[in-house]
Amino acid sequence: MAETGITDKEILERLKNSSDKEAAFSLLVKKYQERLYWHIRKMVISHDDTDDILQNTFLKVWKALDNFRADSAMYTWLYRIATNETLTFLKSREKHKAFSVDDEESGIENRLKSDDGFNGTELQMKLQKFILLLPDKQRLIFNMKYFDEMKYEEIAEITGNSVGALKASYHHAVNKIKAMFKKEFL
Amino acid sequence: MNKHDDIFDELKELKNNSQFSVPEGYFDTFHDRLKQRVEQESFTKRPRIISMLKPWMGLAAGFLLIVAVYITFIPKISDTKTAKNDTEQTSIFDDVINDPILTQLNEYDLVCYLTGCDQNNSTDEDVNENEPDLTGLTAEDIDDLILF
Repeated sequence: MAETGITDKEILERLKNSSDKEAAFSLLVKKYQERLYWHIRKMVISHDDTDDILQNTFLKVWKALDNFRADSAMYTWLYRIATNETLTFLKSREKHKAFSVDDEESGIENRLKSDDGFNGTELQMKLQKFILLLPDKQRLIFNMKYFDEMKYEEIAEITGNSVGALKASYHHAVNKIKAMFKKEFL
Repeated sequence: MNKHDDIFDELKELKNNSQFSVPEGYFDTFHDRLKQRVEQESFTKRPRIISMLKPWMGLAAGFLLIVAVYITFIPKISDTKTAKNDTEQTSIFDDVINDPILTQLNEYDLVCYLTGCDQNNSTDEDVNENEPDLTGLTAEDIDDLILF
């Protein structure tokens, strides 16, 4: 990861200074672009869509910088914006989708195999396919917990859900994926 | 026990992001592309301010229209109403003037009618009933009456 060694506190201090604002924002982008990219990519799969959402996310961050209060951690705030952007995108894509679950399964597999840049193993492909069959919010929670290994408290701060609800959602997601694997290999 | 029961343990080693490929140099150029986009957004901000003001401008125009309509039409309506009232009053006055009974009244009758003095005073007939008939009295009769 091409992260800069600068701390969030230092970036925030520099952001307050209007003459240094752009340079500080560049540091912020360079520090978080990869983390946010993967957070979005695992949700939408397509690189092009991820690129659009990531740009929109940072644009919103740029516009909202003056309103940012250091009550929450910088990365939590950025994740929250990226998550909202991603969910909005998925919702709009859902509206334009008009095919059955079976079609959806084959569609996801095709999307993963096609030029969306997925080059994992067969097992990883299956896991991604099953994850993509989860409801958006559940998938988001699963990704943050399983892949990003975030704490429930952090996920709660980003998604606005209670820790209990997140635990239940993650548990359901794991069970669903396990059941899909069983069905696949039986 | 199925060999895929602990599938998540099997996949733990494969949790990295290498399963997705990213165009070469994407993260190196992302910042520059974003900067361009930010500049574009700032450039197109002015028309957006106008579009933000549009509803307020519409509201103001609507308000002005209402004021204009009020100024143009309301005085005409009130003029028509006043003229109508004047006509009604004139016709009542004409009725009064042309009434054959009322034309025979003198000023005193009218004042009495308006002040209600006729209710307090007795009529001519009452006077005649209570007072003696003085016609045909001689000078002596008058002296007697004065003495008593």
